[in-house]
Amino acid sequence: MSRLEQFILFVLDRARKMGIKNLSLFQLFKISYIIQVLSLKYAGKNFFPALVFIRHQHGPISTDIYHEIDELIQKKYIGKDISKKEDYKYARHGHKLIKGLPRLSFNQGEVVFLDNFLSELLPLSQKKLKEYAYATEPMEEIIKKEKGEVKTGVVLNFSSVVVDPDVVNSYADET
Amino acid sequence: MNFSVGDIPFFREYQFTDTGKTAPHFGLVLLPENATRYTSSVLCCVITSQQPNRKKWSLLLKCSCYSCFTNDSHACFDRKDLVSKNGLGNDPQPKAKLNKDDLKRAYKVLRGSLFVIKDLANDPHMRGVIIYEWKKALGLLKTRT
Repeated sequence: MSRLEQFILFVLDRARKMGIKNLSLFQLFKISYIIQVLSLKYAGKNFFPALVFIRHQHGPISTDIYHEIDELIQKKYIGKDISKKEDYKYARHGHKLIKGLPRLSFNQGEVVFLDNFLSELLPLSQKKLKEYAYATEPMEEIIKKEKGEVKTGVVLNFSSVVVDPDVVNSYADET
Repeated sequence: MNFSVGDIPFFREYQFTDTGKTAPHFGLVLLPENATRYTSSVLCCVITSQQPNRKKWSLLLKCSCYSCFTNDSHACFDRKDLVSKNGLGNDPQPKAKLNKDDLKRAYKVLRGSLFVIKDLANDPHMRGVIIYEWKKALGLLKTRT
């Protein structure tokens, strides 16, 4: 199972434990994106080494995540709740874990990192998640270039994420 | 009780991660409980009234400031443990919370220890989340939500 698949299952497991029935694609995209940014900022490395996010009208999305979710649906790890509100033309596809969480390969530090940030991110509304994502460097960078016209499909540049100065090792010579 | 950074709970059985031995000790909470709640444990460093082995990685906590201590004590940032909540004392917890000055002093020592001491927090993600939470507790991060 890929690292991204494991991550998606982990997020859905924590959502279930927090009493959240399901998560939309929008939420899964934004949470994965924010975790990638936080990992760069506070751990100094990507959480997902080869994951690409592109600019979409409503913020960052990833086709890799979309395909992994499809895989997990086929493997019967994930089920979908489909619901529709009268005042909105699109149906909401809610994703939930329908099997127990398999053994995952995250180390202790990664699990603590994810649990800490997911406890902040999972309770947020879609609007708040979008605001959070838009306040990150890659989104700010592309919005600055757009001048009002959304550059849909452009790959987001994570090299603009500023590593927190306190996570840079300035103690290398000490014992 | 949901512990936060800087809380000082008392454990009737504080279990050391490296040796598995237990002893009654105060602990200094290094991460909010949300980060470790699914393991029913809290990330702490031990607090002891004995002289610390490595003074550089410790912080003096005066009993005149913290009424729960009968003697001046030391938070030892070179001894970090994931401590089971089953070992907590039965009475209300935490017993105290670091005051703002000590929180600032503690962060300086803790931050250095995260890079130098080879323990369970010497991992990029564990270290990162500890730094994030302490900076948040100290008001050094802008809040987004």
